[in-house]
Amino acid sequence: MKHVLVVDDEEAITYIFRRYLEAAGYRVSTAGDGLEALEVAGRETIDALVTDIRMPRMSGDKLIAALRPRYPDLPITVVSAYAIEMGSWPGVRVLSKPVDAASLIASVGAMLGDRA
Amino acid sequence: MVHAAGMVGFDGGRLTAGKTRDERAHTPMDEDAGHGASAGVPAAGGLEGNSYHPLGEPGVRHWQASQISRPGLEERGNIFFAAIEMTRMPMVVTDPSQPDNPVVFVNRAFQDLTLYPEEQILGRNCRFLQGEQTDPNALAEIRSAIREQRAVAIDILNYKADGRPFWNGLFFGPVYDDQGRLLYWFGSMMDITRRRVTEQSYLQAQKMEAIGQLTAGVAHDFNNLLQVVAGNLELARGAVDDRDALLQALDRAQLAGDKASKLTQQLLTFARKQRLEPKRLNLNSLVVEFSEMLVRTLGDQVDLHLDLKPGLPACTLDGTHMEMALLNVLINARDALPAGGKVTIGTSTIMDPERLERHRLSPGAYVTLCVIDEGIGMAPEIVSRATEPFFTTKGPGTGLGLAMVHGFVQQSHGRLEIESEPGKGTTIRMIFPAAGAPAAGQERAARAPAPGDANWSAATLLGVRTVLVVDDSADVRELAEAHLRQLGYRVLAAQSGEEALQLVERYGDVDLLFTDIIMPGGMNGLRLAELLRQRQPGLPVILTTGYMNEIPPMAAPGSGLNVLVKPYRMAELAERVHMALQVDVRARPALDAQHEG
Repeated sequence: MKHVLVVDDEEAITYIFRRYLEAAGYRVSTAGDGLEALEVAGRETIDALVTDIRMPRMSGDKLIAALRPRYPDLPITVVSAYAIEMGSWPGVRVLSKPVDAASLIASVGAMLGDRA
Repeated sequence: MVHAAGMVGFDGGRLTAGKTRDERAHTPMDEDAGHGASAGVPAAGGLEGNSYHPLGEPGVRHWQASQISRPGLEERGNIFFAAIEMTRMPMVVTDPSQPDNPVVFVNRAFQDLTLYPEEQILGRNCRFLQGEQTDPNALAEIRSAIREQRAVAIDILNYKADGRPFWNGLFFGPVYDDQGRLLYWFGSMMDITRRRVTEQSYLQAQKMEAIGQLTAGVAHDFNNLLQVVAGNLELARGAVDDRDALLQALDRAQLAGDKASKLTQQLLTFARKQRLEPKRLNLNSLVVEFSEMLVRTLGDQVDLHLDLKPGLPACTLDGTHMEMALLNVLINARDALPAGGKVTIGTSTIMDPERLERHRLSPGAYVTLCVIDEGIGMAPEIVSRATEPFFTTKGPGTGLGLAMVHGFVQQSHGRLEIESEPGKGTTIRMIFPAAGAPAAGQERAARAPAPGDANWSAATLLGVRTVLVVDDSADVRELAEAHLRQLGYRVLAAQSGEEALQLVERYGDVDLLFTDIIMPGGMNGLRLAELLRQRQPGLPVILTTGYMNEIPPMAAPGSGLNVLVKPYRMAELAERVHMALQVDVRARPALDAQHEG
């Protein structure tokens, strides 16, 4: 079972994304900001990342930069409520909130599938 | 000719509120420059207004007022006359001893700039340069300078003969004779259109940036909430057979919906479009009644101290929104004290001239509510952005707290001041106008207002001006009354001078008297104006009459007496009233009759 890490400072949002992705057959961990996410990613191996950008303590773009050395090929989906603020990054897909279950699952799945 | 006084503005500098007559009397005259034939009061770095400083630093040597020994415009044979005709700086002289203060001299540059030939200028009041977009506040400032006989420098939008507007960096000051009688006004102008346009595009760019930031913030927060609402609805759809899961999804969607409506309210408060229900309230009572909530908000680490001034005057405020604003400020104070400490909530009054000046407030009585912390403080660049919506330095902050407080205070006709220093702490001060006597009509019988303090009625706070209409003809009176009401004025109407005086006794000061001259009974309109002006010096008066020969000899300019001949059109009345009310409100005498408690 692939392991997806979902990061957002709104618990209400990580809850929804967890439900979406679990329904699609992934194992899901959640984190409330970049620092928490780094802890999870250091403790366990992750196969994909779904993250917000604006978060307290450590933002999404800083999280991505911090994860790259250990996970150079990690498929990443950024889900942002103000997507324009996220530039284009290699290996990163950007989705705008609100995003429905099908789009999120398709994005995560496609990226994992591309690599497989 | 304008004499050496005409050199005003050449060698000065900051063309920005000149000294009043009294102040000038204590300033030594600069007599050397005029070799005894003329003398002036040097600017000495004093302010003359808020205008552009074309010559850099505040003016020191140029004259703000002058005295000449040889009045008259005939002397045109010397170098000073040539200099004035040669300079490219437009100059003008007006004669306030003639009716309506007409122009009696303009130089060539004036004609070049305005495109009016001399014959179309001489004999007219300078207002021919004004037009639709000319700022009434700038005109009010000019009128008050003329009334107070002081120099002023001000940027004002004027119009050329062909209708094109230009920004005029105007400076003018009074010229007296040996005996100190006002002879002329001397003015110099400067076309500063280009600078103004640059400034305005800069402001526009800033505004666009602010709107961009606001839009981004709104989009961000609403998209997040939409995500939660839409996401949970989608989950609910997939969980129709699982009652618990279904209810949980619906609850979560509902919660996000509630948050969204709260966000909308916050935005409305920031935009000063909140529906407020202001009532008379005492801020001391509000703080005391709300203190339990405040203590709870501050937590165990932070002590709350109250420093409430006894006998604080009431304010007219929406209590609920006031509490929210106080709570927002207090949350910031708490967050500025991560290791705990002390927060003080204090109230006080501001009414003495020195403090009014320090806070740049118009004369009146004010109540302040301040929150003081000795926390981490803010750097100046943070202070300057603190009230921007969605600007936050806190991790989980909305960036709307102080933006809302600012919006609420503004909408309540108050002012928000922030003082902060890194490491020293922060003082947030909310200043509100004190409520005066209960508004007429509401608690009319409570007490007769003391002279001067009735202007803090709710109507006045909301910017509504009161016009006293006096005419013995019911038709004429009612027509004027209805029309002025429709224009948004508060109207008191009386059929005789005696009745008018009674109304003023009962309801307090008015902003304008509009009265018929001939009326039955012992008191005519002129006598009424005289009596009311004893009570309210400087009260603008418009007289009206159907008989031309009743018109009194033209009163001295600036006296505020003007006559509207019957029959008049309603539009004419509206315009006269509007013009007459454009006097500078700051020139009103300070309200020192404020009651406390």
